[in-house]
Amino acid sequence: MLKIKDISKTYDNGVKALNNVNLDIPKGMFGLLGPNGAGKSSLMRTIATLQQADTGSIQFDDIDVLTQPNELRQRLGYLPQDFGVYPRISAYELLDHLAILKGIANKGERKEAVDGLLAHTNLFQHRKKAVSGFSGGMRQRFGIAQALLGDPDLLIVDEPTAGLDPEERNRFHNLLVTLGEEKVIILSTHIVDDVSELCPNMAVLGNGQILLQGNPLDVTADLNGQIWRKTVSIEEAVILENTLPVISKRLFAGRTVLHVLAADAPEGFETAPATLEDVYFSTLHNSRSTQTA
Amino acid sequence: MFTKMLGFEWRYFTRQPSFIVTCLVFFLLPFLAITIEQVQIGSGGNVLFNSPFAVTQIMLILSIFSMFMVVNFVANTATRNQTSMMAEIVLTKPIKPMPYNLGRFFGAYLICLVVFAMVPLGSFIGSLMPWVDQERIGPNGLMMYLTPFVLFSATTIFVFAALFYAAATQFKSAMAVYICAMGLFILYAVAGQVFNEPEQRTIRALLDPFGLRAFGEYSRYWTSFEKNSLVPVLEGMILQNRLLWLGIGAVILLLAGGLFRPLNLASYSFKKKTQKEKIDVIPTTNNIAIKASANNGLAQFFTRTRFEIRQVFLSPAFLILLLFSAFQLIANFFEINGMFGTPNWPLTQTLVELIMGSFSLMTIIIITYYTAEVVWRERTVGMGDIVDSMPVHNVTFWLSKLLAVMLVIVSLHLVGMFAAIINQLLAGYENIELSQYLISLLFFGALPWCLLTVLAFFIQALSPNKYIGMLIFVGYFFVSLAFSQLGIEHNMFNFAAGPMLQYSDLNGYGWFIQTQSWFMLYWSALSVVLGIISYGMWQRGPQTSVKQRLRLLSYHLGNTGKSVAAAALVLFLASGAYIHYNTKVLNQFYGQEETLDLQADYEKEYVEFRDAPMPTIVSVDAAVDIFPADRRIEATVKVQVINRTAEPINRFLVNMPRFSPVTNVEIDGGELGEINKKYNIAWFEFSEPMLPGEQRSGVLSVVREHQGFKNSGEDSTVVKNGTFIDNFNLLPFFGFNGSFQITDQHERRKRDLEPVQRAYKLEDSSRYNESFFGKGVEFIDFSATLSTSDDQFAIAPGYLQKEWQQDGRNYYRYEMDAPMVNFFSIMSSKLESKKVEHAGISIEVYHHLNHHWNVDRMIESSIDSLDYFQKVFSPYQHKQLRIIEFPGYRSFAQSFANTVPYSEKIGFITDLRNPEDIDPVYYVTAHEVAHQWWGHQLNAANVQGSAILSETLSQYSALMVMKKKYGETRLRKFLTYELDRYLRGRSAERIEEMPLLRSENQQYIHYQKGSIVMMALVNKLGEERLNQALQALLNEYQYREDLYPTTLDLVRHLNSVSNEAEQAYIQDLFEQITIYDLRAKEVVKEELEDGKVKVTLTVSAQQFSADGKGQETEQPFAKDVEIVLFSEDPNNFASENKVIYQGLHPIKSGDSVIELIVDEMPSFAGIDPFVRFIDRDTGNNIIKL
Repeated sequence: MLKIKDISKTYDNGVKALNNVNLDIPKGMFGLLGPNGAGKSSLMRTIATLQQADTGSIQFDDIDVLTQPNELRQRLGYLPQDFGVYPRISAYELLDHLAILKGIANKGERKEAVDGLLAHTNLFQHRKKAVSGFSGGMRQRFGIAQALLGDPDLLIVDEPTAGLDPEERNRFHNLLVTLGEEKVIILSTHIVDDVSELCPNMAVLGNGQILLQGNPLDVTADLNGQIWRKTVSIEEAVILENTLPVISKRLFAGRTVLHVLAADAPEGFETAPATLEDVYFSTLHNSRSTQTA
Repeated sequence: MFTKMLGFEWRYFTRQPSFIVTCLVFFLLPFLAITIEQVQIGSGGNVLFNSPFAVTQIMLILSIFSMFMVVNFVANTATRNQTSMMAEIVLTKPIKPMPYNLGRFFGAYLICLVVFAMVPLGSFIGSLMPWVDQERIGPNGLMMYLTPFVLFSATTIFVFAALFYAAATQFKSAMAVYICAMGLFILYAVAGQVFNEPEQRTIRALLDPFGLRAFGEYSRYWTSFEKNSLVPVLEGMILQNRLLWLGIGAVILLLAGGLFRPLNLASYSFKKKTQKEKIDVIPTTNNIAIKASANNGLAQFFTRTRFEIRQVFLSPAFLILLLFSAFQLIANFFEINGMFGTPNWPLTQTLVELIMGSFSLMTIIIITYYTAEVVWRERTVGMGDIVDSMPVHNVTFWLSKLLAVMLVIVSLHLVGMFAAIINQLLAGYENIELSQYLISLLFFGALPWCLLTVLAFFIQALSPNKYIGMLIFVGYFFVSLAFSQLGIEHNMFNFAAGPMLQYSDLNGYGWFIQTQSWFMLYWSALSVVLGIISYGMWQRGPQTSVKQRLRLLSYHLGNTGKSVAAAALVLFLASGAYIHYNTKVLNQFYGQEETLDLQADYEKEYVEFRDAPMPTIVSVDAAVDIFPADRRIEATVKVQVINRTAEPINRFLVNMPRFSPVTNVEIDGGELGEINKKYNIAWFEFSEPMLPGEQRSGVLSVVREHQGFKNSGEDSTVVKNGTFIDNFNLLPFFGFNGSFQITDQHERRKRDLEPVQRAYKLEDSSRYNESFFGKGVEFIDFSATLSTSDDQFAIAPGYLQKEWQQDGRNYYRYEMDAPMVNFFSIMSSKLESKKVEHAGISIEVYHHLNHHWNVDRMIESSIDSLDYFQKVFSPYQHKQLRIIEFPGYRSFAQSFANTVPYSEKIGFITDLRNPEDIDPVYYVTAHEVAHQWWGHQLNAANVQGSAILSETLSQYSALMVMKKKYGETRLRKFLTYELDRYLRGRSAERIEEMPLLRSENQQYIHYQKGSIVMMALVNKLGEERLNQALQALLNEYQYREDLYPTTLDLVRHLNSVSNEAEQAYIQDLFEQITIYDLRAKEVVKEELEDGKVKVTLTVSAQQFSADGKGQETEQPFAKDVEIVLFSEDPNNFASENKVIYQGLHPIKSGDSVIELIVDEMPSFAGIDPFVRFIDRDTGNNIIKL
């Protein structure tokens, strides 16, 4: 459905945000993982017609995204990473306004859609309050609601669950899943769980490049038997980090749990089932070591 | 802490591009003001470009602009914590408020000072530039830059910084500070409007935060010499003003600058009542997968437009803006100033002018601010990404936003209109001309601003951010103001410009609708092109470079956009070509420089014929057909010419009148040669030379008509209603035309011309047989046959002999029974009239239907004048006196033989209902009637001082009539105005001030100084003796054609009725430029036992004699000066004022003490209250007991 070919983008200040990105995104949910500053938002904006690439092309269905932005916008839903709202306008009015811009001209249909979306995002009881006075999570839900207006064929959501409490996050995940498999949904996030819970396809973006692409189950399976775990003290962790390919360390009950990627078990380590998080960290780890090498 | 914060601000700002840019702006403005001759501030004439006065003036004027610079920096500092979301981080640190705030404040203040220091620097460096005319550059000194900078700039900026810092700290919003700044500026403007009477100057000067008016008062009467040499000193008005404002600034900073309050977060606790609502069913089952339909651009456009309008109109800033505008306007309406501080009736045309004038700055702020605000709204609030990714065409965003801003402009003008109408109704003026309001305010006022908005949108659409866009637009606007000075004078090259509207109640819109329509079509077409590019290049997304947007331009325009743009471009070029054809092919267009060059060439080529012999016209019989609807005049004038010179005339120069494609001069025995098109001049060659004393007959024929339209300089003499043209403009003019010479000394020097001689020397007796109207203008026998359209009447000097109709046209035959000066008017209009017979003289006033208020006053003044002048001077030479209103394109009244054309702008529209005001209608009418004697009975020789005999004597005559009607106390107010205008006039003198005797057609001398001198003289000699002398002068020279009088003859006659002491006084008045400074310093009263009152008055006196450049030297003073005690304030005319004591006292230089014992308790004492001395400050002559 969505074909991204050779997209590169360098900003005026010299930062190379996207470096020859190639992606082929089928219908359904697609997770885009990457650390802060990896170029996720640049890529999202480029697909959402808000930014021109220096080179390359993006094709959605039969639309050339970069030269036919208006055609794509007819079928696009976009939730930016962060956004503000007009002051002094209620949630209902603002969503209604955006619905008109989206192209829902029929009054009755518009009311149905706007009411429905407010209900789905649990904002219906707040619909008469100004969005500018909403808390961060409520505002984020409003952003989700507006992105879903007009039943877009291509839905791009940039860090959608940031700031949502677990209950709202689940509600959102459910909503995304029910939207069906008939559209392309790109979910950009740095939360690995979001991807593992939702996406049949994913990619990892680091330093503007695609580091890994595939089905979460497949890529996780590839690592099975290569992930080793040990729980150590903080001092030990520092020593081990210098000698072993540690891909992640996290704290558990005050002690450090190290994950190491290796063919054979290092001394004192036990085997651990590979998770998508391990895939993610190992990908980043590899990318860093190839860069420094 | 203090120094750390100060240092932080310094480092922060010096790295901002805005710092560099504003520095550059404040460097370049004064630099250009000094180096470009045409854009001078404070200099000109004899005042040097870098004179201390000019340098100070530049700093003061730019300090008005500095307000916005200070707002920018200070508001940025004060609200940075909020805007950059650093508040929570910063404010949780253990900071003491006083050093923290003071440090930030002084840091920002220091930055502002550094930026403004560019002004003296720019001035100084500008004065060193090699291309600047070195003769107009004086010596530079450190103090002349430093003193005004410290006195004015540093203090003013401190006051602003303090006010704005306090406002920003209190309201935590930059918008509040902008509103505060705008309020301050409007207050400044309003104070200037409200306190505009001479006695209110002090309060006006004090209320000015910039110190501009304080310095204006301080240097009010500075002559060029003083402007070139004096540096302001911290004293008097300047000291008071600075202390006041520094005090205000310091107090506000202390109270509201947050110096003592612990730092905390802004609490936005706008409590709103939230209505609790019962929700029965949450519609979770709704279908949310409703597809968008394509092609609903129109719905999107309407929604978007409604939305933008709501956003703009419901914002608090807009309401405040409207209030400010209405307030500013109402302050203007407060008193519509006419002559001598007397208000005019609130005519619609006047109010329209006021609205447009007072809104122009406001509108430019609106366009700059709202365009930036509206174009960048989505980016600013953070909704840009969401809204930009909506399937909405660029044109929808662009057009809806554009309409919202345009609607602001239109509604502002409509608010102005409603305020004006209310004002008219309150003032008891009921002729509400709604259509005139709408046409003038919308088509001439709002439309060009709307087009300018399109340009502002275009700039913002291409600009990388809103501040750069604002800067470019404001920069463009200010440069465009100076376009005409820079040689870009044609309206075709100044975006959205058209000819300046001049409305006349007599002639309506005249030609302006046509020209405005063409220019607006031209600019609208260009605006459409700019608009299409604007939306084609509309920025979607956070940052897309212009280059990238250019790639999609064609896509966004589509075929419709491209074809509309192409059509608009064609229309732009076509209408441009049509305008070019009309203004430059059918009509001539000369820029200022071109005109000056032409004048110089003319002078170089023909000046040698200045005194060449030429015939003089002695008899005129004119046949003039006026076609008002076509704006055409066909004139055939039979003349008798005579050779008054002692030599035969072989040929003479003929200057052809303007706008006259057909012009011919036929005189027996000669022929008009080929016309030199460059100067529109030709030689008339006699085949048989005209011998001395020989008289011949001839015919002058002219067709004056108009084709197409002009860029500027339309012919306002021949119009659809209110044609008024004199013979100098209508007919060919013989001989070298001296009035076409350049008078400005610098323009002359640039073109290698000697300084112009403004008048022939007083002693040059060879000119005593030339009248002051010019060579060859003498008394003539006059008759005329006029014809005009059937709805108008036509008037020329003389008596109506016959009136008839022929071919649907009105015909009039006028014949004059007495000789009259060869200076006559031809008028044609449709007007009301009122006629009164008085002592065998028919007095007639012709006026516009709606201008009826003062007709009776004019008649009364005419009767009083005729009675007085006939009694004391000589009989009136005519049997009729006609006053005829003409359109306000020109604003003067002028006396022709028995005919006085009187502009609609003066007199007719004066509101005389307040008895406190001076009565300018009565005065002007009396002055013009007096010209029937001084000018028409008594001519003057063509030498220095000629205007004294016509104007000064007319002033005197009018003032005597005024005094009879209104009394001496009221005359005081009039003379105070005259004195002020004289002193300001001499301060603006460009060449050299002459004494009265040798005045070289200098209005401030022959009108204003003349009034004062003549009233002082009548006080000295008494009315009877003075009139006796004038009568004798009149008897000696009345109607003479062989010899004309000069001021020497006037003085001779004055001396003949005076004793020796009085003669010395006369000599002083006429031959010296003497300035006095009389003050009442102190007064003490004491009640005596016998019920009388003892008043002890301390006064001081100084006397200065000045040279022509204004250099003054103090002289000993020893004169008798009038001391007067009043029962009431002499400035208040409404009260019954009584003079309790009036007497002359010998006063010497320095302080004098006068003791008076009077019966009644006075409340005011004054030295020379009736203005017998040229006193440089009359404000300190009266003192309250």
